[in-house]
Amino acid sequence: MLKLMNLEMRKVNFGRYINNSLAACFAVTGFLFFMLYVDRDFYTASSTDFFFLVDSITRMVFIIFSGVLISRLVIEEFNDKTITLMFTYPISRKKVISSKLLIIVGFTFFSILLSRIFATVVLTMLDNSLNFIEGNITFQMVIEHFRNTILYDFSASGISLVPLFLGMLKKSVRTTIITSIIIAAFFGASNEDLSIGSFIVIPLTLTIIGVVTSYFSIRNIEHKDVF
Amino acid sequence: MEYILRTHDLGKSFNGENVVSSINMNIKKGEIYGLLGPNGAGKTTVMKMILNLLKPSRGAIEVFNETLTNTSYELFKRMNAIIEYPIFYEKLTAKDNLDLHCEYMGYHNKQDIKTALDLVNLKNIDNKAVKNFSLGMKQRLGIARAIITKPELLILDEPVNGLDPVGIIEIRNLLEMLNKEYGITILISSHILAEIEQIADTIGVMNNGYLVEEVSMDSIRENNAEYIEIETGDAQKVVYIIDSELNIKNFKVLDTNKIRIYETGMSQNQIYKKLMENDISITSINTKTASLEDYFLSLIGGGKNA
Repeated sequence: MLKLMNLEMRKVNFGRYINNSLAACFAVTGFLFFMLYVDRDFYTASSTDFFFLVDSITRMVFIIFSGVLISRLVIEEFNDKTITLMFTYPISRKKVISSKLLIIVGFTFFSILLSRIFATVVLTMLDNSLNFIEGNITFQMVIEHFRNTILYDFSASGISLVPLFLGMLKKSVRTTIITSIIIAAFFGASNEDLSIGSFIVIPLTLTIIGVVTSYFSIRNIEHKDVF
Repeated sequence: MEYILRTHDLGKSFNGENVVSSINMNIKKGEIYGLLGPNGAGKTTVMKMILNLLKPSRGAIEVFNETLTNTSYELFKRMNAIIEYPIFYEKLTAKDNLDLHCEYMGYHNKQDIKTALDLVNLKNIDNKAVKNFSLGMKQRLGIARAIITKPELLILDEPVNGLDPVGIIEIRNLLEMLNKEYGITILISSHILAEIEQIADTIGVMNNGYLVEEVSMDSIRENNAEYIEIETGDAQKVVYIIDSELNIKNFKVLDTNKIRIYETGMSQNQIYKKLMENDISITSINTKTASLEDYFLSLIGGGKNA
């Protein structure tokens, strides 16, 4: 499977996507800084607001990013008919598609997590000198926050697979990207609820939705005609 | 005789409409099998079913003496194909494409990439993305890709489309070489007879989704040789003349007044003169050249013969 994933990444020139996601990460940080700093007199963000903003914006960005990856790795392969080549190889079709999905999920997860860390660290450092967040953000708070929310990153990567299902129905790049934007808007805007009851339930549900829909989109792949 | 591929009553429908029906194809090990038929006869559909891209609606396919199923992955290591037009990862270079192909096929002899490119005569393509290739170059690259791993069965769907005349001859020679020297069985399709009659050992003719005929080229040539047909009131005398006076041995009396002469090197004029000299009246004499083309046209003519 690792070998397959490696080959997939070679095929699409994956380095480009790593560069792009780094750029997105810097852009998000810059955007957040701008937002918090410019408005500091009018409305000073509390530490909760600060964490919420960082988390929701990075997730939104990378859920859309994963839509792009789905289009490139899966949908375009069908559109360009290169999938007819892939499916004549002595490899199970499910394995081929799964390797692609693993790349997407893995990449989305790490991009979100690392971007969040990057944005939080940079902004906290800036805050120390420019002071645009109410109160102090301590190292302890950051650790605590990430420990509580890492599951949400995982669920964001899971839910980012939903566009695959709709995109595969019509083999359409447009549908895929639009779906991922809609999902990003909903998911990103919803608050992280850290009360005990929903701590596990919500992210888990979202992950399950993602996994189930992607299962449905590749369930019959071995029996399907490929044109 | 060992068969490398057989289909049993193979059929495929799309939305209830039969595209291919009851195909019984038999490809012997080591031969070149030409699949001939007009556009839309179902040639590509049959090939795609062999490659497991399309799933048969009816019947079965037997490759290397094993029945093909959805998960016959091991069988795919032993065959390779170009279907319709060659498909590549267009943004990558030719070498990258071939390299990926080897990786996916589980073939590790990477020097063969260069050999294959030399065989199809592709040069100076080192840093060029495939999207900048002409159709002819893509065809060559597609053939290179199909032969790198030296498969036992090579499936080529109209492989000379888009090639220049010199290229067509080059590819034809290459296929013959692969067949003779490496013993690769080749299934090749075309809608142009001239393309494959020279290399094929057996020809399958498809029309309207049916396999109308499956014959060896040898027997076609035999049955379709040139001959001179004489119609006369007195066949016996004519036979006597052509046998004793003209020394022709290769002829056939069809019925009481029709004689066919298959002997070459004797012109219609010579025979006519001789018969006149001997005062034999004939109704007609003419040379028939039943070309292969006519033969195939008669097979697919309007599909009524199916």
